[in-house]
Amino acid sequence: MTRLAFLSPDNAAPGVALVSPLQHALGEGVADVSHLGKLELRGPRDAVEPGPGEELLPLSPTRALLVTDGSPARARERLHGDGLRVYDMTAALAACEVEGEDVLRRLTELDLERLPAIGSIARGTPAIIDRREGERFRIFVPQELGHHLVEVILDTLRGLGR
Amino acid sequence: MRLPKQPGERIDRETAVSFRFAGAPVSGFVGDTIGSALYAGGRRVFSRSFKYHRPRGLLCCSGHCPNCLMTVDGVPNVRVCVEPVREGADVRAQNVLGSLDRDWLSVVDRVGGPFTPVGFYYRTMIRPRRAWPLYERLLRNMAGLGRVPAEHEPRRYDTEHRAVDVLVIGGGRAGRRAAARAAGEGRSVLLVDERGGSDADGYRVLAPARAIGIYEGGLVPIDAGDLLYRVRATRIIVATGSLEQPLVFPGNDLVGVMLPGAVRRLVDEWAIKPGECAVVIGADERGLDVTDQLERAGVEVAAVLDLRASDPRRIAAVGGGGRVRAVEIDSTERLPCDLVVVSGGRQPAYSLLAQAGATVDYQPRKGIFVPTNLPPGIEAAGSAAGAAEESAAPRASYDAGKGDRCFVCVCEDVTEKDLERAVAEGFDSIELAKRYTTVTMGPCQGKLCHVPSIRLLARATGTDEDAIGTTTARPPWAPVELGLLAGRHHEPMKRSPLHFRHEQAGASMMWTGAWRRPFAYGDVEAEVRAVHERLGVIDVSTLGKLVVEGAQAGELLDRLYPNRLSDLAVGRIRYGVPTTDGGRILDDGTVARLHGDLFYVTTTSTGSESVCEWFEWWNAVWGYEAEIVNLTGALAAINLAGPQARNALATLTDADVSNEALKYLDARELAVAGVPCLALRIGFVGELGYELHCPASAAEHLWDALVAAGAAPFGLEPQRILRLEKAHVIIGQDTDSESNLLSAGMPWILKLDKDDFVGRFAAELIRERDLGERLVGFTLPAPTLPAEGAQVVIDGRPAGRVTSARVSQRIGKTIGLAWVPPQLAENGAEIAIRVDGSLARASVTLSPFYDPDGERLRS
Repeated sequence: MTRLAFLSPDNAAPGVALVSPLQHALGEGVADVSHLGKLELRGPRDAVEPGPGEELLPLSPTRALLVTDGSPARARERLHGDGLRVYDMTAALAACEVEGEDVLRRLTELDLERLPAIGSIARGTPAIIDRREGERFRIFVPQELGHHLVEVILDTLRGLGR
Repeated sequence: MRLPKQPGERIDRETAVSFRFAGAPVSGFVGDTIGSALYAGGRRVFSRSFKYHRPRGLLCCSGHCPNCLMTVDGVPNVRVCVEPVREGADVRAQNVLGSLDRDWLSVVDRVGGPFTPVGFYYRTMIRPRRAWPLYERLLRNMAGLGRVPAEHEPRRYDTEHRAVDVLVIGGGRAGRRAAARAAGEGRSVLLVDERGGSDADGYRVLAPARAIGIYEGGLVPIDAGDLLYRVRATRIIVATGSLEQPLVFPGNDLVGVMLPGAVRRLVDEWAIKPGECAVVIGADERGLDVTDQLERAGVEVAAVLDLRASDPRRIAAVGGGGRVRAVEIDSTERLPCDLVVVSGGRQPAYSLLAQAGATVDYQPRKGIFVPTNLPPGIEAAGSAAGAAEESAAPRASYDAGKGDRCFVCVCEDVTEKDLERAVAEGFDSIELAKRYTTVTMGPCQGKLCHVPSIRLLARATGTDEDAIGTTTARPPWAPVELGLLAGRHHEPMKRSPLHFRHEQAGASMMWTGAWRRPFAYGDVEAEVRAVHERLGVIDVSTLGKLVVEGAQAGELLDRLYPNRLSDLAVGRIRYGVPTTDGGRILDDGTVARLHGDLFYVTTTSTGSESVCEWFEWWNAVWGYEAEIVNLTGALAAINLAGPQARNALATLTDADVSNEALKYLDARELAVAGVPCLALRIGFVGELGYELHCPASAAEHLWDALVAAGAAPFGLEPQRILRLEKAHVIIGQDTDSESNLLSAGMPWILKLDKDDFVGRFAAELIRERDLGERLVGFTLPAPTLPAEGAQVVIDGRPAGRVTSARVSQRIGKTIGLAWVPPQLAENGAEIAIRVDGSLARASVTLSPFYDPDGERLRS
């Protein structure tokens, strides 16, 4: 077992209901993917091989975020074995997906052709933005600002007549 | 009445549009502007001037000057000469008392002139001082632009970001050519056009839209009405063309005096006859060529004066009822007319280039300023670059020294005499004269008055235009609605993982920085009592939480904190107060050692990011083998406090939480109600307490379990009373950027027997010198309650200040913290505190007011 067990929501007992930071914010056009496992890796990220259902988002030459839709516990064990320091950020980051370059252009100054990238969204909220298939985008923000972000996204969608 | 169809007209004569002006119906065609439709309907007076309420008519017809500002559908200051007609619009005059044709405030023009020279209010309205608010209200009512309606439907403004290789500003011939060329090179190109237009081969067009500035990093905000584009480009090509310049002569602001572009647009685009009989005066070929349009429109051209061929000393427009009736040239001829077309040459529209960093040089032969030394990535194309045709530099003024009123700046009603007076009073540089007279500071932002004012200043100071120079070019280049700059009203709000639990419990919420936190859930005193007597629970998730991990983590912390942390035993906690290199208190919190090489650091709520950056910054310098990770958002934190805390916790965990197994200042990982937690046994609120840190997504479950176990939620206000009873400081409230460990009464933290640490040198100096002041506790009889910030008064003089004060039911007194002179930092010393205008006697206390030995914390 990796250290800092109290960081990982999946260490909670089976009866514990885990709550998304976006639970009260959601509306049509925004999909909540906050449940995804998110592990911050410190160390040489070139050595990391993402497994099935995993994606590696580089944050700096020595930092990366591994996003997994599988078991964060297994990923933690594996990566720890690779000599990396692993910090479970699953609960730290809210994550959502939205459709449309026009929406993103109103939310962030980041170049949408050069994603994933770290930048600011919705006027100063720090974010990691990744491009999925086509015009679908995945946005990670600090969970304490997740509700705010979804409010801004929904307002932006209204402004675009959606 | 319209002219027969013109070759390039923009109106669709088949589609009529009607709107109302001052309540009366006006009709026009699709393609008209509100201004052109009004002109076609016979209206000649479009506005009243800013200060003197002189009648003003169409001058530029290009959206540059202030002469056509009106209120449209409640929106003030709309330039109706470029505002497209729309069905049912409600158009009204502004800055008038009465009507446009009969404005009672024009009395200022008739009798007020001698009493209202430039800057008169600085001299004549300064006494008595108390009357200034009255003067101000009077001035604001009598002068100015339109009024923002008190009640109106807020418009929606959005912002959009774009990134392109090449941005072309200006959709004229030069701009289009540059855009096509860049697109041909395979670049992504965006062209901005004020007038309109659609996408062309290979490049996108934003129209109608205008660039309002060029900022650092190639950022160009573009005003597209309800949408502000923030465009970043690696190459910016400015093709903003040139600006027709007026001439300075008596009567130059009369209705009927126009620039050639206005005549061209009236005739060519809207098929309107601009007048019956015209005199044309121009210093350039293009200005003089307007005779083509005049003849085509059937306007009689009474005379054409080419200033390149002749150089009259005096030109004067003679008016009646505010409208031009004749022109006199050198007093030898009087030419009756109702239209005077004037052109003082074409000045390159260099403002955006100058904003981007270009220098601007004067060309005496052409009488214009041209941009030079363009910074990298910035280019100029067409006449904006100074490629204007040959023209003569006109005289600064054609008044011939007679002292008649000649307007230099029609926006602000600044005259030639005003500028001369400013120079005589010593405001003889262009920047000073600008601020004193407000020339170039009106809606046109110098488009029509900048060059004429420089010429006049050069003449008045006996120098030349080159020596006078230009004013600093600043955004906005074109008027922009503040709502567009403000954008959507979204205020980032940080919500704790328990935010909705607090709302559901009916907490009154308050802002603390960017966070919303519970002030209290109901009765503050009852919440305090619950903590003292039974069990309370407070959400402290906002605390900063860092992990410092690595073989040299202890050494790193020893250099970051004034106390020693590398000798902390695993599972133990120590209080820490990092200081700046100047020895000032930066933040405070706890440091727990969870493993030999892993420390868990808490910071204040506001300090989480700055402390993390501070640690990272120093470690980048020192290079210790240690990772610093900010876990603030990953973890919720809940403080369970009160005499029943241990018993309640024991019901929710299998772990041994006895006083022997989990002592005061112990840190343990354990599961509480099935939630993995780090339990820190600390006590900010002065009772037996456990701070439980758990994954944010499990916080509601843990909170619910603690409440079900009997804990009463308490908010920030009860917490502030509880911590004050213990004399625990709040960094940033009880301390400021000058406070140090010794003056704040924390000398026990400072370990000068260890190796170097941040702030050591300063701490040693502070120790050797006079402290200046000390932070102490005080009590005074309740219910007297000093305000936070109240003065401490010694011998009738201010000698300190109160930083915190509350009435404590438990202590039975008002308690607080205050900065006082060091000689008063003694138990029982008496100080006076100003409360509601009188002095209250307070007694200094150096130890905590409640449980001074900390027995309850350790119990």
